[in-house]
Amino acid sequence: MSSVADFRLPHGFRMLTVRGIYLRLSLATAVLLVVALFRSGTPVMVTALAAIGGGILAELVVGLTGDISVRRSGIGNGRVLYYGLLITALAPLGISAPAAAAATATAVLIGLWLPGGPGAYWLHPALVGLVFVPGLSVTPGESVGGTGGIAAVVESSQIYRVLDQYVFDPLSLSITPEWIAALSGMGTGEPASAAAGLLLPLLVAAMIIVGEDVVPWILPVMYIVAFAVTVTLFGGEPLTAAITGNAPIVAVLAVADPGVRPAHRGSIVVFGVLAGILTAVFTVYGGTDLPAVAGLVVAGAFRPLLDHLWSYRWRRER
Amino acid sequence: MIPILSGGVTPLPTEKPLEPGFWNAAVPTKCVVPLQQHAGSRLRSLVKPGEQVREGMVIAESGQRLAVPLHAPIPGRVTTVGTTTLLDGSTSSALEIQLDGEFDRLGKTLQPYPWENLSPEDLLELVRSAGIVCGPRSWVPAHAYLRRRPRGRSSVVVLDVAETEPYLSAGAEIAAERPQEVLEGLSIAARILSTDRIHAVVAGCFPRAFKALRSTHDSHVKMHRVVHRYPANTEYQMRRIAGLKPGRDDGTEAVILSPATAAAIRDAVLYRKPQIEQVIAVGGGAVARPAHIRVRIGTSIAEVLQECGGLTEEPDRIVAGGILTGNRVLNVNAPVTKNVAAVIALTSAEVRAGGEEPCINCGGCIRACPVSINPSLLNDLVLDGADAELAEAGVFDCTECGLCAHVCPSRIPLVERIRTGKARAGGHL
Repeated sequence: MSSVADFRLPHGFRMLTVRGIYLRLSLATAVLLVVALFRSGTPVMVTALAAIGGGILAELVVGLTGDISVRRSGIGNGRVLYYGLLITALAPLGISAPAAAAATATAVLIGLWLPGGPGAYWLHPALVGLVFVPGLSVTPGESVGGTGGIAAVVESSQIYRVLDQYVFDPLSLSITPEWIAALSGMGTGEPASAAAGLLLPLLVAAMIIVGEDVVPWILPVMYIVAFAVTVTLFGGEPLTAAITGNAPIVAVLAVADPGVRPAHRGSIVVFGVLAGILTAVFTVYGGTDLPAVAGLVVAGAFRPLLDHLWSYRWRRER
Repeated sequence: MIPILSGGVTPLPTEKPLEPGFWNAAVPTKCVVPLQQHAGSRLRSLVKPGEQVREGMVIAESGQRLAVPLHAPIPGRVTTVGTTTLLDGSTSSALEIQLDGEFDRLGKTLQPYPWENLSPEDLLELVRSAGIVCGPRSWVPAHAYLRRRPRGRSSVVVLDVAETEPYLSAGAEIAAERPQEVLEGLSIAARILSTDRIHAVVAGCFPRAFKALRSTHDSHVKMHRVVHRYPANTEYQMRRIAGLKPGRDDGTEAVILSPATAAAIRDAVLYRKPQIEQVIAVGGGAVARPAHIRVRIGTSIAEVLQECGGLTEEPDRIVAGGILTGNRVLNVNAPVTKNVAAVIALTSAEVRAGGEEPCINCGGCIRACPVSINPSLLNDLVLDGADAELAEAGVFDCTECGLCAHVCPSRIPLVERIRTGKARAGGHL
C-alpha cells in the first residue's frame, strides 16, 4: 500500500538538507581552524571546544522551554557546531574560554532564538554573539600566539621546496617562498583572529561551500570586490587588509548562512556590495576591533529592506 | 546563447551520464497495451482473445474526434482482454498480446510515400491514424494539438530540444541521431499549419543535437541555443525565443513539438508507420548501464531496466518520467505507455530525501520559481489559514513545476501546500 508521500513531488532534491548545509559549513570552517591550530597552537582548540560547548548548553536550555524537536534541530543539524567554529575563527586569539562559550551561548539565545529561531533572524547569530559579548577584544600584546607559529613557517618552507622541485620549476613558475607564506597565512605577523590570513585554506573552504551550492557564488565575489575597491579608494592596500583582517572569512563562511542573506538575486548582489563597502569603511577608519563582523552585522540590518524592495519589483513584473 | 533570466535552476549533473545514441531493445515476448494512453475518450477493443494481430494493426479505436487509434506493437495472438495495473498503481483496460508470427516492418526496407501534394487535412488524418501522442509530458494527441489554431491566427512551429529536466534527454538523442527525419517532421507540421515559420530551440547541454540539426537544417529553420537551465521550454520562454509576444497577444500561435513527436509525424506520413515504439531514457545511479533505448509500447518497466543491465543496487525509488514531474513506479511489471519518456532508478544519495523542517528563509524557492511568485509566503499563508490573501500572493499563477520543492533544504512539500492553497482560494476546501 502506498503512502501519501509516494505521490509527493519531486522525486529528487537539488539542494542539501538543512543539516547537510550546516555540516558542510562546519567542515569548511574546520578546515580553516585545523591550519590555524598548526599556526597558533592549542589555544585555538580550547577556544573551539569552549565555544561549541557554550552553544550546546544554550540549545539545551532553549530545549527545556520547548519541545524535543527544537533541541534536535539546533544541535543535530550542526548549527551550533557551525556557530562555535565560526566564532573561534573570527574571535581575537587572546579570548578566554568562558568568553568564547558566552559568545556562542549569546549567538544561540539572542542571535537565533530571540528573533524566533531558524528563518526568523536576519543578523548572523554567530556575529551577534561576537558583537554583544564584552571582553572579547584584547590588545595586541595580550594575544596568545602559541608555539606553533615558527614550526608552521618551517613546515611551509619544506612544502615549498617540494613544490618548487616538482611543480614550479618544471612549469617555469616564479613563485617565491614569501608569496606562498603570505597566501597561506604562515608568514604574517600578528593576525587579527585565529584564522585571519589563512587564504589558501580559505580557498579550500570556499570550494567546499560553493561547490555544494551552499551559497550563490555571486555573494562572496561581490563582497570581496566591493571590499577591495573601497579599500583602494580610501588609499589602503587591499591585499594587506585581506591578509590581516577577517573580511575573507566573513565573505566566505559567514555570508553562507542561508538565513542571513536576502532572497532575490538582485538583492543578494546589493547586499554583497553593501557588506563589502561597510567592512572596508570599518577596516580603514577603525572604531571597532572586529571590522568585518561589524560590517556584516550592519549590512544585515538592511536585509529586510532589500527583500521588500525586490519583492515589490517582482510583484510588479508578475 | 540566449540567457534565461527569470527563475529556474541549473540541474545537477547526473551521477551516471547516459550513453549517447540509442539502440533497439529486444522485442518482448509479451506486450500489455493499456487502452487509455492519451487525453480524451476511452477506446474500445477491436479484437477478441485468441485473435491473431499483425504488427501495427489497429487494435482499439473510438469514434470520438479527439481520440486516436491504438496499434499492436508486436505481431501475435491476443491472449487477454481485461484490465492491468499501471505504473502508478491505477488500473486500466488493456490487451495482452503474445508474440507470434512475422513482423511487417521490423528489418524491412520501406519506400516513402510522397507527401508534398497532400492537403493539410489529409496530412492531419495520417497523423491521427498513426495514434501519435505528444510527449514527453503531454497526454494530448498530436492531431488535436496541430488542429488547435483558431481562425484568423497564424502559427509558428517550434522544435523543443530544450527539455532540461534531468533524464528527459531522449528527445535530444533523437534530434542528434535523426536530424533529417526530425526536420522533415517539422516541415510536415508546418504544412499542416500553413506556415513557413519554423524555429528550433536547443539547450546548451545538448551540443550533439545542436550540431546535427545545424548541419542538416535548411535556411527556413531558425536555430536558437539557450543556456542549460530548467525550465527552458515553457510556452512563455519558447514564444520569447521565437520572437513572439507572451500570452498570444500578437495573434500568433506557437506550436511546440518535441523531436520524438516530429519524427513520429514524419514516419506516419512518409511510411504510414503508427506509434508503436518510442525512445526512452533509462538512467539513475542504480542502473547498471544508463542509456537511451527504443522500446515497443507495452514492454514492462522491469524488461526496460533489464535491457540496460538491470540494477546494481536497491533503488530508493523508480520513477517514470523526470525527477520533478514524473510518477513514482509502484508496479515494475506495468507496461510502458506512449507518454513515458524516461525510466529512472534513483539511489538514496540521488533522492536526498529528508524530513520536513521549519523554513530557514534561504530564498531558494523564490530564486528558482519561473513564474516569479513566493512559494515560501504561500506556504505560510496556507499554514496560517489566510485563504483570502492567497490569490493576491499569486497562488493561481503556480504551474506546479515542482522547482520550489526541488531546491528546498527544509524539504517542505511546497507543491502540495500550493495545491491546497489553490483549492482553498477557489473555495473547494
